[in-house]
Amino acid sequence: MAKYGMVLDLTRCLGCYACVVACKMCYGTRPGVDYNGVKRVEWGEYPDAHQRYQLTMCMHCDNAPCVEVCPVKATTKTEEGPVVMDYEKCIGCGLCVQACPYDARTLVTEDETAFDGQVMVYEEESSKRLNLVEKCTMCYARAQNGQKPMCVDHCPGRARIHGDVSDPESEISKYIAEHGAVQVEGTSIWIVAPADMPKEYLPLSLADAIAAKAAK
Amino acid sequence: MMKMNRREFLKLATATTAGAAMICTADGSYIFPDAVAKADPAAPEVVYYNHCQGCNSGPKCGMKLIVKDGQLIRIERRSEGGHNNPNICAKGAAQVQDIHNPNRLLHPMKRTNPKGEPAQWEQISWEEAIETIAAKFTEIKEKYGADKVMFTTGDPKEPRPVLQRLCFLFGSPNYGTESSTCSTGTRVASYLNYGKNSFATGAGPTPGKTKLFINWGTNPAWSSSYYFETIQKAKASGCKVIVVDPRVTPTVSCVADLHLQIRPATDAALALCFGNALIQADKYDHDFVENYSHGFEEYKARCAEYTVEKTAEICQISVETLQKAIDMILGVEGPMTIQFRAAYPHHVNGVGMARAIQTLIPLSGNLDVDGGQRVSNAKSISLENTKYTGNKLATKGQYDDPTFALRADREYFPVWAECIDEIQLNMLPEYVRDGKIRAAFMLGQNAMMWPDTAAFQKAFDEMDFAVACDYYINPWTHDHCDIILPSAMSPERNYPITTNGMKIYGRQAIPAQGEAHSDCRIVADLACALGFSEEFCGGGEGVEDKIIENILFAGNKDIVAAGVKLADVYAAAPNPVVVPTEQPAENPEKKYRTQDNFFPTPTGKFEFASEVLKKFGFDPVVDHIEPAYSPVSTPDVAKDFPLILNTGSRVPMYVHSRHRQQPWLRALMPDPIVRLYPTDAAERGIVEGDDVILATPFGEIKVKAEVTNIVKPGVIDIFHGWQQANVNGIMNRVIGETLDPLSGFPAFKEGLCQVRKA
Repeated sequence: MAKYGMVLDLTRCLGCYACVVACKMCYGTRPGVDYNGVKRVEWGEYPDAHQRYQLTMCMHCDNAPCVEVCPVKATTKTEEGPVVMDYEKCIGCGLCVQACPYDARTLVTEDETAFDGQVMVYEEESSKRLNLVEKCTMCYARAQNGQKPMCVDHCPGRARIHGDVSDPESEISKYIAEHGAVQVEGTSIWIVAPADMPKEYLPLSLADAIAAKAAK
Repeated sequence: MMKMNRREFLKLATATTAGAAMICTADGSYIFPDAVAKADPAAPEVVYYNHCQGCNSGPKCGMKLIVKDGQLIRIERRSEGGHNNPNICAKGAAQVQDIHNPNRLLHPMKRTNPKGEPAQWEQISWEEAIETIAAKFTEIKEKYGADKVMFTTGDPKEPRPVLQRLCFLFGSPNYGTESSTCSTGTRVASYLNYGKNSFATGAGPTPGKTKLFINWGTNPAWSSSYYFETIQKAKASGCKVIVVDPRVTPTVSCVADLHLQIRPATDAALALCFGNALIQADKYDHDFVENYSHGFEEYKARCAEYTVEKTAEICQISVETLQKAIDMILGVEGPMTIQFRAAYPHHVNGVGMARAIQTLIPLSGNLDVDGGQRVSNAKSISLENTKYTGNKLATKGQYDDPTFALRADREYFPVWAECIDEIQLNMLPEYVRDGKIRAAFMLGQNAMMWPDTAAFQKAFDEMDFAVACDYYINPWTHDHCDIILPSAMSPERNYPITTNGMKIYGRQAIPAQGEAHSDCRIVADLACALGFSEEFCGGGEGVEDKIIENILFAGNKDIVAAGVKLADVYAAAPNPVVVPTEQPAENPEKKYRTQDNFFPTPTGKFEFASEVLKKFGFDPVVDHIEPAYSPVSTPDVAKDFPLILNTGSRVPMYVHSRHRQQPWLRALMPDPIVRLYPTDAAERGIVEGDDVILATPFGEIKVKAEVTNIVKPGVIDIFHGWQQANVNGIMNRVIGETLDPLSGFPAFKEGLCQVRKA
C-alpha cells in the first residue's frame, strides 16, 4: 500500500500563491476558508535582509490529535496517510480545530460565497457546507485517481513534491534523498529549508507543536 | 528529416491520441469523449485544450479546461501534446472566476449621458454598435482625414495584428499599444546599438552552457513564473547568478549567488563600470570591437569615468560587493548572459540604461555564442509576422511614406518614431489638443496605464468619439467613452493559434458568455462595415477560423507547402500538428562575422556611439544621468519628498489593473499597499496595516502600509492599477524630466515622494 507524503522545498518557493488559488479553485472553498497558506517571513537588516515563505497546510500527522478528539469519527486517518473528512458525519463541534497543533482546520460559520448572494457552479458543493469543519485532504481522491494534489500540479516553482514515500524508487523518495529533506517528526511532511532560514520559521515536530499550543 | 506526405505526418502527430474520436458540436467547438470523466454520467466533465493568456505574454501556458454542462468548473495543468508546460500560476487558475463572473460586461452598450460624467449605459445590438462606430469613423475620415482615428490595444496582446491590419487599411498611421509604457523602450535601445530590435532584452541562461547569468532588474518569480524553472535548471547545472534589483525579491532569495541592491536609476553607471572592468582587464572581445563596432574609443573613455569607488557611491552598493560582481564577471570560464525587461524603459535615461546593459553582451564576447545571446537560424512558424499586416509597417523608409508623415508622435519623439512601428501614446492629450487625433478605437485599454491619468481621461472626453472593448465595465476609462463592447476572454477564444517552433497548437474555445465576441471578430466586423470585407474574410461568426486559414496559413510558405489545414490542427488536438521542414544546419557561432549587414545601423556596425542619436542631437554615447528629481539632483525637492518612488513592477496575483474582480485573487492583496523599509516606517510612526498618504509633488493617494525589509531603505515600492489609488495619476509628463526624450516612456521607477500617516 502506498504511503503518501509531501515535500515542501522552501528553497524553491516563489511566494506566488498558485497553490492557494489552485486549491480554492478545485474545491470552491468559501471566502476565508483556505486549506493551505503562504506566509512571508523576513529576517536580517539591509544590506543583509532576507525574505522567504512559510507554507502552511494540514501536516497529516501520524497520530493526529484531531482524529483522537472527534466524537463522531468524521475525521479519520487513512491507511495511506492523509487525514480526511466525512462532511456527512461532521457536527461542527470544533474540538478538532482546538486540537490541531498546526491551525490547519477551519470551522465554517459564515454562509458566504465568492460573489454576494450567488452560488457559482464551482461552489455548488462547498456552499452546502456550513457549521462544519473543512481541511486539506492532500487531495486524497485525486491521488487515488492517479492525479497529483492540486497545489503540487500548479506550483510554478516546483517547490512541492508528492508521492509514495514507502517506494524508494518514487520521485518523492528520490527527492528526499537527493535534497536532504527533513521529515517533520510525527507528520507526513518533509521540508527542504534554506540554509540561513531561522529555525523558528520552520514547522515544529508534532510533539513540539502540541506542547507549544498547550503553552498558549 | 525524412520526407512524409501530409496524411502520414498528421497520423504521426496524432498518434498519441489513439482512439480519441473527435466530436464537432453544433457551436463549432470540439469534444474528446475519451477525456470525459466517468464519475457522473448525467453531467460529464468535458476537457477542452487551450492556452492561458493571464499574464499578457501571449498564449504561453497550456491548460485543460474542465467543462460541465457548458460551465467551466476547473482548470488543470496540461501535459498532453508534448507540451513543455510549466505549472499554471494563481492568475491562470483563477480564470474560472473570470469567465463566470457576475460583473462581466456581456452586451454592447452606448452611453445616454455626456462623457466625463459617471456613465449611464443602454444595451444595444451588435449591429447597431458596429454601424454606429463605422458611420462615425467614416464621417471623421471624410471630414478630417483617416489619420485622425487612432486604433490601440492594451491587454491582451493577441489582437494586435488584426487591429494593425484594420488601422492601415483604414488609412491611419496612428496605431498604438500598451507597449508605449511596457518594454518596447528596450527595442529602441537595441535599434540604436544593433540597428534592429531583436536584441532588446538580452537573453536568459541556457542550462548546461551558461556559466554566469546576470538577472538585471527583473523578478521572473512573479512576472514570468513559466520561465523561472529555466533559471533554476541553469543554476543546478553550475551557472552562477547575479541579481541586480533594489528589492530582495523571491528571485534574489531563490537563485542569487550575489545580489546588487542598487539605487533605482543608477544602472547605466553600473553597466559602464562593468564595461570599464572588462576593458581594463583586457577581457573584452577584440575581434568584435575592432572589426564589427563603431565608436569604441568614445565608449571606452566614458567607461573610464566609472571607477569602482565612484560607481559604488552612485549606486549605493558597497565597494566590496561591487568588486565581487566584477570578479565574477572577469573570472567566469565560459559564456555569460544578461536578461533585463520592462524596468529599464521606466526611467528618463531608460533607453540609455538599456543600451549600457545590452552593450556588455557583445563587449564580453557573448554575442551569438552558445550559452550567451544566441542568434538562432532554426526555422519556426511566426504567424503574426507573415503577410498579415501587409508589410506596410516596414520600419525602413516609413519617413518617406506620406501616410507615416501623419504619425501624431513624430514631433515629440523622433527617435522612437524612427525605430518603432507604432505611435508613442504618452502625449495623447497633446495630440487631441492639437486636433491630430479625434477618435479612438481601443481594445483592453485602461487610462490608468498612463502617467498624469486625468489628462488622458479629459482627452477621451474631448474626442469626437471613443470606443472601448473590455471584459468588465471600468469607470476609470469607460466614463470617458461613447460605446463599450464585450470582449471574449482567453479561454473563450480560438484566435490566435499557438505556435512553438514548427508546431501548431489549436485552441479549443469554450462557449463565450453573453454576447461577448473575440477581439478578432469585433475588429473584423468593424472592418467589414468600413468596406474591408475581403481583407477580413467577411467577418461574422467563425471569422477567427477563416482568418487563421485564409490569411495566416496562406501567408506562411511552409504551411502552404505542407498542405496543412486548420481542420488538421483541430483534429490533432491536444497534440500539435508538426509542419515538416528541412531545418538548416545550425549556424556557426558569431554569425555577424559572415553575414552581410548583420548590424543594419548607419555605419553597418554595432554602434557604441549611435549615429541616429547624433542625427537627432542627443549624446551618442551612453552615460549615467541623474534623474531630474532625485535626492542628488534636487535636494530641495527631496527635503519634502525624501523617498524614491518605485512602481510598475509585478505582483503574483494581478497584472497591471487586471484580476481585481476575481475574489480568489483579490483576497491575496485586498488593498493598495506601499512597501516601506522598517526604519523609514518607524521614523514616520507608521506600522504595518496603517492607512497612509503617498504624496508626490503632483498629487497624493491613500494606501495601506506594508513594513518590510525587502525594499531598500529610502526607496518605496507600490503596485499600480488600483482605481481607488492610482499611483500613475500622481505623476506628471514633461519630456526630459519625467518622460524619456528618446522613447517617450514615463519614469515610473525614479520619482520622489513622501509617506505619512493618514
